[in-house]
Amino acid sequence: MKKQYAIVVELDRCIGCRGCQVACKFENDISLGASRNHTYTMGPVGSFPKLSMYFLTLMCQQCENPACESVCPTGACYKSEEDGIVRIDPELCIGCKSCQKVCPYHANNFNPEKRIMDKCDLCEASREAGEIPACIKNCAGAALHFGDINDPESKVSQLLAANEGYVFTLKDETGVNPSGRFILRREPWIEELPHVFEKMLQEGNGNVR
Amino acid sequence: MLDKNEFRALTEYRSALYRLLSGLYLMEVDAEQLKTLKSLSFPQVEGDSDADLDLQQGYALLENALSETEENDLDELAAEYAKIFLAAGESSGKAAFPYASVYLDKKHYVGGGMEQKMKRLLLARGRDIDPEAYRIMYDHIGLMLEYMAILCEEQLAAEENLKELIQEQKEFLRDNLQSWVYAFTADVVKYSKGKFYAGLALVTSGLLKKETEFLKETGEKYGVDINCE
Amino acid sequence: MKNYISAIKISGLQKASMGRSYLVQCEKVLLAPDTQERIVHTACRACIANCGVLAHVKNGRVVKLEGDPADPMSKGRLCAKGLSGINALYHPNRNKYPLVRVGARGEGKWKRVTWEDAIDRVAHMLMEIREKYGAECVFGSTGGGGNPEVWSAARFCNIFGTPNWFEPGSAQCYLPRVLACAMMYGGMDASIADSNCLEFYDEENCPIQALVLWGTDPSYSCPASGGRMVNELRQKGVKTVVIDPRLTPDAAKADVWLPIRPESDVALQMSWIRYILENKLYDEDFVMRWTNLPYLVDCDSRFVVHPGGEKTAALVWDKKSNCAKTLQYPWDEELDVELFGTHEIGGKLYKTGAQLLWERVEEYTLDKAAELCWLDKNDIEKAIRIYAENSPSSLCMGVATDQNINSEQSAMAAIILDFLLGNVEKPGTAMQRFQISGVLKSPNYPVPVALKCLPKEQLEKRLGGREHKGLSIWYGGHAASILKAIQTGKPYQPRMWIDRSGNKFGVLAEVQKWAEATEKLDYIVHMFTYPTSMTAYADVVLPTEEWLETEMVVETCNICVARQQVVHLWETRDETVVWSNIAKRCGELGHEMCKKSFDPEFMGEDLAYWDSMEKFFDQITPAQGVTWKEYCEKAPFEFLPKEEWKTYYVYKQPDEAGLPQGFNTPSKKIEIYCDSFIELGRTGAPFMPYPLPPADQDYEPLPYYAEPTESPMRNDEISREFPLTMTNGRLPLYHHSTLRNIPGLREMMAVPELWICPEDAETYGVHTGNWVWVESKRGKIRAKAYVTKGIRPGTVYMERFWHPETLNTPTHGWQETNVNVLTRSEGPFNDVVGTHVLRGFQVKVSPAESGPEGIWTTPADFKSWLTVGKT
Repeated sequence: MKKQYAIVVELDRCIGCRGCQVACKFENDISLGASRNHTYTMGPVGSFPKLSMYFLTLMCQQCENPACESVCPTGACYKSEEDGIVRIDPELCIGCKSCQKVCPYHANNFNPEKRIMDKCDLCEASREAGEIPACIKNCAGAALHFGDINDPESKVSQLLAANEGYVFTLKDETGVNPSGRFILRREPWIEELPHVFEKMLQEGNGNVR
Repeated sequence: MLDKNEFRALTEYRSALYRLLSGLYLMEVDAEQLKTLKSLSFPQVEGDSDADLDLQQGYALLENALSETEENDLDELAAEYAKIFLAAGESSGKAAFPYASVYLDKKHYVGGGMEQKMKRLLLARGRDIDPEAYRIMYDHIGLMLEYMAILCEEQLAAEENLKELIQEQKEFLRDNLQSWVYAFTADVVKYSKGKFYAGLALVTSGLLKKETEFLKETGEKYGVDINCE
Repeated sequence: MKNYISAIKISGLQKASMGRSYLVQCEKVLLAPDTQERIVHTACRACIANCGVLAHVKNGRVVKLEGDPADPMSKGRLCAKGLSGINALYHPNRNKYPLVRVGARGEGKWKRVTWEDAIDRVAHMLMEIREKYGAECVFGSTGGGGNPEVWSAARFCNIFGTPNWFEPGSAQCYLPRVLACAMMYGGMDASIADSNCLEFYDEENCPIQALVLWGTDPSYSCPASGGRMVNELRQKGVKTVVIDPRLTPDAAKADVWLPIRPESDVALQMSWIRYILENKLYDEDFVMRWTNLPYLVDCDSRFVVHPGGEKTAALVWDKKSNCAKTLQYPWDEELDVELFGTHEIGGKLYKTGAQLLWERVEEYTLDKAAELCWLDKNDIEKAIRIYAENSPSSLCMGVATDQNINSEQSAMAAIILDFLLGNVEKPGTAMQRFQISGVLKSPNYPVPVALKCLPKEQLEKRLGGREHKGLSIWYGGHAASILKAIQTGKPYQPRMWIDRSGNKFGVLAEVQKWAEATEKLDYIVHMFTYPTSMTAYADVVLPTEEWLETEMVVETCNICVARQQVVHLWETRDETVVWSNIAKRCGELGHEMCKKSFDPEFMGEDLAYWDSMEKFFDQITPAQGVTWKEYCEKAPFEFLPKEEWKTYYVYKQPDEAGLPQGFNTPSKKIEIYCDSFIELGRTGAPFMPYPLPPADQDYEPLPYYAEPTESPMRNDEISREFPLTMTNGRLPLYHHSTLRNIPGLREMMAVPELWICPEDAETYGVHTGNWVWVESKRGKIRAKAYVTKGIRPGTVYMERFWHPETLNTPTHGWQETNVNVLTRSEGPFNDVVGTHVLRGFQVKVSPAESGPEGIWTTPADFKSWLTVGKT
């Protein structure tokens, strides 16, 4: 079976400290105003004081049918055959931001210094040096994991299997088929894209379950 | 083309001007130095090249500033110095840091590649920062200008090997100053409230532009084949 | 180039260029560029957690930071604050050289001077004030932001001769809990955020069953260490209860969340005590044998009876013989000791400690607590049962209850709960007395405070010292009393302020009064790593080191860690050395005690002052048989194997006489009924070397509930005009007033949020993302509203904030969005420790037309803190 590297997040473990966001920022030299990953506050929903809230950390979902790849005019954005990671070739990228417009998960940033797009590549350079992605290494809650979800022997696959019934993927309205997996046992999963949900909360529409 | 004596005379001025400028970047003006500065008489500069205009403007500002500055204004001048070069009491980043790293490094932090490079260069040449002086980084503009002065002095002291010495001056200017100093002097002008340091910056800019051109010419005469752009 | 020479032929140039040389000749040295990164084991200091750090250095520059897996508390993690250490180190606006003010205060004009010059000026200022007005007219301060070496300030003040120094924390942070623990138990307190509760860090093996987080949110205050650890305990099935008005991550993941009305905590704690007593959920054996609850108390004097004057002997009621009997420590199997009882003996009334405790808590039924604390009665009961019926359990507190007038009592009530359940010194409990390495002689920090150097007549002049003797456990003074003295000139006029740390105008109460007060101060010195609002009021600035430049001994569980100087920039100095430098100069100017403070023979255990951190630590690290340099090379290292380090049931271990050594209290028992508090109030014992004049009223030996002065329950003018109760709480991005100038952090929260619930938001016309006015009786500020169900109705939340970018404007950065414009510096204060009010006061909220002018809110704004000069 083809490899598919993805990030699996145990949401019950995430304490919303944003250490992953900052670790990624410094490790990958992300420009101000941009972030490869985001920690969204999902909730609180419910009726005070019986409230439900969890933190949802997400980055590029390494989709099976990436919208970004299909829309890229230069072929800079492509999904690798070897590991399923969606990469952006800095030589070919012209910074047109088309991928940013179509990605349902807001995974793409524009880097104003390099004038190209930037997204999570699972810290490729560090991995080549034998490291693990910065966000995962630094996660205070030990909530982040990564591995090949198509390999049933991989740690992440085992983790997913052990949590059967509590595994979720992000809402997919256009058939991109995200590879990221989220495990949530303690709270009810909010079936809405987090940035959409946050907006709903702001507009006072937060009783979404 | 200059003959050997003219070249000597010019280099005496080059060296002295490098020293003067370097000192003003490294240290605040004290009472004694103010006296000698006030006794300076700046020449009229002909020509309308960038370098000439910089020097004209710079000299005018310095002259003006010096005529208005008395000993009891030195604290204000020191405050200008601290504000522009040290970001003293500053909290929104506005300063003209006199360090190459800040202008050249991707992250604009102090203590970057240029700092290490200058450190290696200086130590290899048997020079180090005076341990009694304020602690600074090796890629300080003042140190670079002082080093140029030292190279000029070595040139003056040398009987032969002029070619190599000029090459060294040229390379040093090109490799360590050229790429950042004009952005720096523009910032000094930008952040100056008074005339003195703005004048200093313009004179610096003018001098280095002159140097660039001059070393290129001299290089051609002595068969030194490096582009100084 | 014909005209070149004419263009630079400046007459007089030769003379003007002479004499100023920065480069000197030296031996030629050939350095090669680094091919590899050098990795330094150090520790963070972005907050007080001291998490282990691996600092990567290449070619003289720190290029990367990550957590050190050798640290058993953070286990290789580093939070957002620690990660930003490189930005802080290389920040363009750092204080780099000593500076002296040019022009008027607040103009922002400074000139550079040498350290020698700066120290000389400061010493002259100090000596002048001392000579003209008395040393007490100088006051010092330090602070928690970025974790200073707190005792350095105390030491200097004792040696210089002023009794007046404060920390904006202390009575408003941690000190109440430290005091309660010291008085009633004599061991380590249960604060996670202050790096205690070490028992919990062996998460896999820790047998704790239930954890109560009372007014503390480790997920936000110490994510990499405490937050991580609590999370692991939760994951393995430990039940948690969170008491917090705000739905923090810990609250969201708790089994029970009690969204308490801010600062009504003691009422709830009393109801818990009552419930536990009434339902006999306490550990009877422990309570009888190891606490002083069975001891008879003389109801007149309110002191525990000690027959023969021996504190280890007590009077108890023997049910067998139906009379009072002397109980010799530790226990007497022959007696059938009564726990609750009231007796008349020889015409006087006596009650047991337990009886008095019961009477104190009797009115706090679940109903009453539900009413006072705005909670559901069933939820309260559920919470108590989780805590009391799962053993072992522990109750950990945070800073929340330290910030109003009931601070000390809340600390007392909290540990009473754990004592009742026997949650002390057994596997799985927070309060322990494990082995220590010996390198930290003073609590948490290594510098000895040299109390003996402060003359008695000076100590007696401590402002606020007579009333608030609890502060003396930290040898410190009372901030609000110092402010009062500055304002009124009574009992004397303070004239000089020497301050280390962040931004006093961000963290003190009612900071506008402090700003005004500076006009009456002749000299103000500010020591810190970068300019803050404090700088705008200062005359001299002394540049201190960022944490990557500092050095410190750190103890984390059974590991000794060295915070090592990774690089060193500019002329920054460790504050611990700066205080020493100042003392030295004062000594040279004739200050006898300052001179003596450099004499090892005179100072003895208090250690002679030092010229460098190495010289200081060389007097400390021999406790582990090494010099400081050796310690640094060795660290991190185990000072004891884990199993040896964890010493449970210390109280049962035999002493020389073969008796159990008991607890570190006069009676050797846990003193739940703590009459030492009475003694403390009357004389300052046990912390003062001689008796001091008594406080006006005796301190209470048991907790009591005091309704906050401003409260919706009072239904008075204030609560009608200001109907919402304000509380604060930590954020994972910032520590106190620090880090607001780090672009990567600031862009994540550029301005403070005011949390308000949907119902209240509707009432006041407030929407998420809009600017609002927040007002108290004392002032008015703005914040950005965040409408959320995660803050209880009737309450609002915001965290402290100041704006570096407006430092050099008339607001000096502290007036725009700073909640401490609203807080209260006037009394009443907590009786024992003098806490002023930072949380639990009344405000009103209304929409604002716009945000404050000049503050930065978008990521693009913060760029200038990255790109010096290039905009």
